[in-house]
Amino acid sequence: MHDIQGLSLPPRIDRDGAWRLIAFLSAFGFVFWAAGTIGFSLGDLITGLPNMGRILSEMLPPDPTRLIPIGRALGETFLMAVVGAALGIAGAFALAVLAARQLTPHVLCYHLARGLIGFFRTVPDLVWAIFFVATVGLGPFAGTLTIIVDTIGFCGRFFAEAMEEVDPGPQEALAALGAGRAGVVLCAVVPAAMPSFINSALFSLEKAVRSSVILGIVGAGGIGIELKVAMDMFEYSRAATIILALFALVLFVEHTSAWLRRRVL
Amino acid sequence: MAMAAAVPAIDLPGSRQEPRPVDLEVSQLCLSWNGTGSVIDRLSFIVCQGEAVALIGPNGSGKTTLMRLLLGLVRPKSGSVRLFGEELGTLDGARLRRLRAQVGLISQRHNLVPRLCVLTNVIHGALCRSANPALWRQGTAPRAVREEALACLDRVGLAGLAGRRADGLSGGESQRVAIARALMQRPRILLADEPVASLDPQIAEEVMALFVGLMKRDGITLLYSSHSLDDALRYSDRVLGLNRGAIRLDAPSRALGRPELRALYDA
Repeated sequence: MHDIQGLSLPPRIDRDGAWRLIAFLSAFGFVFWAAGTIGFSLGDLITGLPNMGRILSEMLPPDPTRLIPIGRALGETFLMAVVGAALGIAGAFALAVLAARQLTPHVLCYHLARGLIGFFRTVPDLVWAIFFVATVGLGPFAGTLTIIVDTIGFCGRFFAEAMEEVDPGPQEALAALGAGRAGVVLCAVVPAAMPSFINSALFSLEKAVRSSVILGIVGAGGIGIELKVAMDMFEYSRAATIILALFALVLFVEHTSAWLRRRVL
Repeated sequence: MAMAAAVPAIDLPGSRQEPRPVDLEVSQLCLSWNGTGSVIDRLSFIVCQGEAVALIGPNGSGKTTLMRLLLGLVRPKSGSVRLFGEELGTLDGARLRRLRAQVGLISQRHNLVPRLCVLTNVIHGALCRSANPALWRQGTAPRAVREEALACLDRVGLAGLAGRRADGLSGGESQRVAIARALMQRPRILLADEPVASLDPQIAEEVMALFVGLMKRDGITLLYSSHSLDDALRYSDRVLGLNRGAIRLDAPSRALGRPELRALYDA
């Protein structure tokens, strides 16, 4: 056997590895502690299973008698999502140009745009919905405004990062030949970042459809209010029809966006 | 625009030429990154109208940085760059853009916009003359501009690829398209930063011959950096040797041979 006298093997667990193990165990312990604090109980879940079974049995068969108003509310939900996402994507693009490090006209614009996008993103959509219902009243307009703000927060960050990650070579080539800022952004940056833009925009549309369902619960239009009323009135078979209709809508949007992604990218 | 100064032509035995205007004048140019050692150290030289000048030097000698300084993409610590008699450091954004419009740049990485078609990439060369949004895509560009771009592509032998996406081209084709874009710009001077470094030797030779031939035919002043000593001797009128940010050699290429250039790398 080859003589290895005088050589030393590295430790089985290095210093970084020991720290990683401590961090992992701490995180694991924290989740356990948090679950206990919020009253997470498998016992309660098991005790509640019969109730769950009763509600599910009352949901079947779904009630088809109110299909027309449900269809109308579903259509409103979809339109809210499409208009909100489209306007939000346009707003996100404008803000993202200011929030991209190499494109922003001034460092102050950069911080302002980043701050605004961060604020829009961190405040939950339900809070925005309550705010807009209070300012413009009940109905789908409040929901659409909520989706616009939420989409700006979601897409603004991804758009800005996509533009920052674009190869700087073509931008420099156009700047070097004397093209203006708009020319550089729209000829070199946007085409290169387009796959990422389309991806984020389609995800934001899916997200907008899912959000627009919830927004109705606080009176911001859409089918959410129908679902809430059905559940509050213990009309579970009607609720089942709404849930199935929502499932169909979300599935349709997700499949369409996946198809578009495959076609465009 | 200020008048360019005239300087005597290079005086070689058997060659008496009329003084030619100076297109580019670099004077005592210095640059250092964050206070570290000098990247460019008191560099001075001139390039006359219609001249082809090769810039050679080992890796890290400052060739690419110098190209960026010449376009005003990097600000020097001290010294000046005068292009066609105008000092870059004194120009505001709009005047700098107008001056850059007369300077073509070809880099090693070609820098085409990947998802756009070849013709659109060539048309972008005309952005230096007009900010018209119609020039952003070939589909909206005026007929005369589209035809001029096609003619530029034809000059580099790629008229047949006008509709192809730029990211589907080979390295040699990409560099030819970059040359066509530079021609579309109708530059007075062209800076080329190792234009054929990423190409295999045979394609590199073809592209280099085409590139220098086109520039000479159009009377465009040329400053190109290269690692190929043969290219430096074959295609240039004059060779500038750069090492550690300073000019170590400035001589007509006819007066030079490989040993003199080799010595620059061994210094």
